[in-house]
This record gives sequence, C-alpha cells and structure tokens, in this order.
Amino acid sequence: MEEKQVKQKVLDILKPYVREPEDLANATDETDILNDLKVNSSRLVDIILAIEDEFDIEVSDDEADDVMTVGDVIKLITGKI
Amino acid sequence: MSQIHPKNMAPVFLNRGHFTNQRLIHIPFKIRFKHAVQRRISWLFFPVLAPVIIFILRYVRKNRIEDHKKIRMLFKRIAGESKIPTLICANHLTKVDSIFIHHAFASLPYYWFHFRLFSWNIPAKENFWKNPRDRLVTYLGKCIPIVRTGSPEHHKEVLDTLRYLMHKGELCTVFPEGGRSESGRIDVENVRYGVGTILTGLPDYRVLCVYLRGRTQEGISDMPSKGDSIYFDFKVITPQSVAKGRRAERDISRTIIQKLKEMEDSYFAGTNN
Repeated sequence: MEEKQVKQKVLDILKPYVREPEDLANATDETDILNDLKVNSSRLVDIILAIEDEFDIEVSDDEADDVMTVGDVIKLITGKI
Repeated sequence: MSQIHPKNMAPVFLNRGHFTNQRLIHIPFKIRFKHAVQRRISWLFFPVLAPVIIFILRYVRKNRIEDHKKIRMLFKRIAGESKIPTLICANHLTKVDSIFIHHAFASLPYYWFHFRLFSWNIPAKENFWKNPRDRLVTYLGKCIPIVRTGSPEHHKEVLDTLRYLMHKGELCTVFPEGGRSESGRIDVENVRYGVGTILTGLPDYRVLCVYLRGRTQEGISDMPSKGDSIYFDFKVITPQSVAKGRRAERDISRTIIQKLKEMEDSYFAGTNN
C-alpha cells in the first residue's frame, strides 16, 4: 500500500474525532493530533484500535505512546504492513 | 510422588483470571511506603477533619442525602463484609461529589474502624495544588493527585497505585468521564478508558456504580445548592470482556458508563424516585 493511501485512510479514521473538519483538510505529516487537530486525548485509544482493525496490525503501548503527529501514525503503519 | 517446592509456587492470584498480571499489581516500595504513610496520617487526623466537613455539609449547607439509612445498610453489607477489590465509579457534577459519596456510604465512626472503606480519590492536581489548605485537605482525605495533561508514565503510575490499593482491599473512587459532566448529563462518548485499565489488571473485582444529583442541580457547579437534597443511587456490577488489552479496557469502561447512563435515565424517568 502506498504512503498516500495510508495517509488518506488515517485521515478518514481521524475524521470523527476532530473538532474542526478544516484542520483535518489542512493536515500535514507534522500536524499534531492532540494540539493541532484538538482530538480528545482519551479518544487516542479508539484511534489506535481503529488503525489496528483497518490495517490488520498490532500496536504496542510503547508504540502508541510515541504517536504525536499524523506523520508518526503513517510511519508506524508503513513500518508494519 | 513429586513435591512442589515453595519457590515454584505462583502466588494464588495468578491462577484466578486470564487478565491477571502480577507486574501490574506490584508497585515500587517508595510509592507503597508513601501511600502507607499517607493512609496512617489520614486516619490519625480523620476524627478532627471529617466532622468539620460533615458539619458544613449537613448544618451550614443543609444538604441531606435521600434514603441515607438504607444506603449505609446496603453499603455495609456489600463492601464491609467482603474484601473483593472494589472500584466506585460515579457521575460528576460538583466539586464535592466524592465527599458526598463518603458521607452517603458510612458514618464517621464506621470509617474510623474500617478505614479501608474510606475510598481513595484521584483529583486533578491543577484544581487544588496551588492552595496549601486544599493540598493539606486532599492529602488527609486519601487523595492521589493526577496531572490530567501528564505523561503516560505518570498516568500509569497513578493507575498502578490504585490497582495495588484495591488489591490490598482499599476502596477507590473514580469518575469515568475524567471530569465533571459539562452538559449536566453523562456523556457516554467522553468515557476515559483508565477505569478499564485499572480493572483488567486485577484477578477479581466489582464496581459500585454511583449516581448522585442534587434535586435542583441543572448543570455543573462547585457545590450543590444550599438546602438541596441529594438523590443517591448505586448498583454493583462486574463488567467483563472476552477481548484482551486495550479492547478489554474499552469494553469494561463502556459497560460502566452505560450503567451510569441507565441510572441517570431512570432518575429522569422518575422510576427510582
């Protein structure tokens, strides 16, 4: 799967958790999920679980803790698929 | 006949459930010691501090809890007679909800003689840390401060501590929404999965779901209105999940918040009133 496709799927997963849809439309790899997209920190678990389901991968607690930006998520996924 | 050497025997609790994780129930000596000291100091000051707070609630604020005798009788039967790790999960509308939960469940002398039932709380550090008086009161009130925006390591330490305390038979109170219900109603979508994290690391547990609300309470406030009577309902559940890890934590947390929502719905439907 190409990185572009992964990114699109990640953005689709993030969509229900983002307060302002515009923030997501302008998201880059450097966009911080909590601070820039204003995702509630308690919903990060839901996002990680959705990623596991979508890409059929397993994400450890340590790996999940390291995820800060959209780019981090893409890097994590591409490293596992 | 083969003999089992004591060194090869696993602690009993390791065989009692597939979610059990011995590592999670043990916490560093430094933290255990810190909380043992806090518990002892809280107990010593309890006869001085607790009556003052209860006096303020009952005679200055004139708040009374409905069906108080019945609640205390049931609580004694449920929590007093068994040391199954018990987590109190409540809705959260005022800053003094945990005090009302203490007050509702038992009398001061009962707590003095069964201090494990005076539950630990995890208030947000940012709410009280700046004021020395509040810091002292929360320390003496068996509180473990949590920094909401703290690191995953800090959150893990607090959750591990609560799990350890519950395993030792202490009661703990948490608010699954992580803060007060901004809309005045339980927000099922806003549940924090930390509650599931605490429970999945225990071999055996139960949850006391508590729904409390001043009769005139509309939204959130610092205190219930003066003279307001407090509706108080509680149910015991044992939420389980066939999933593992984060999924189990999510399932369990959602079961608890759903139960609280049901209790809220029955309050507004007037079926328990």
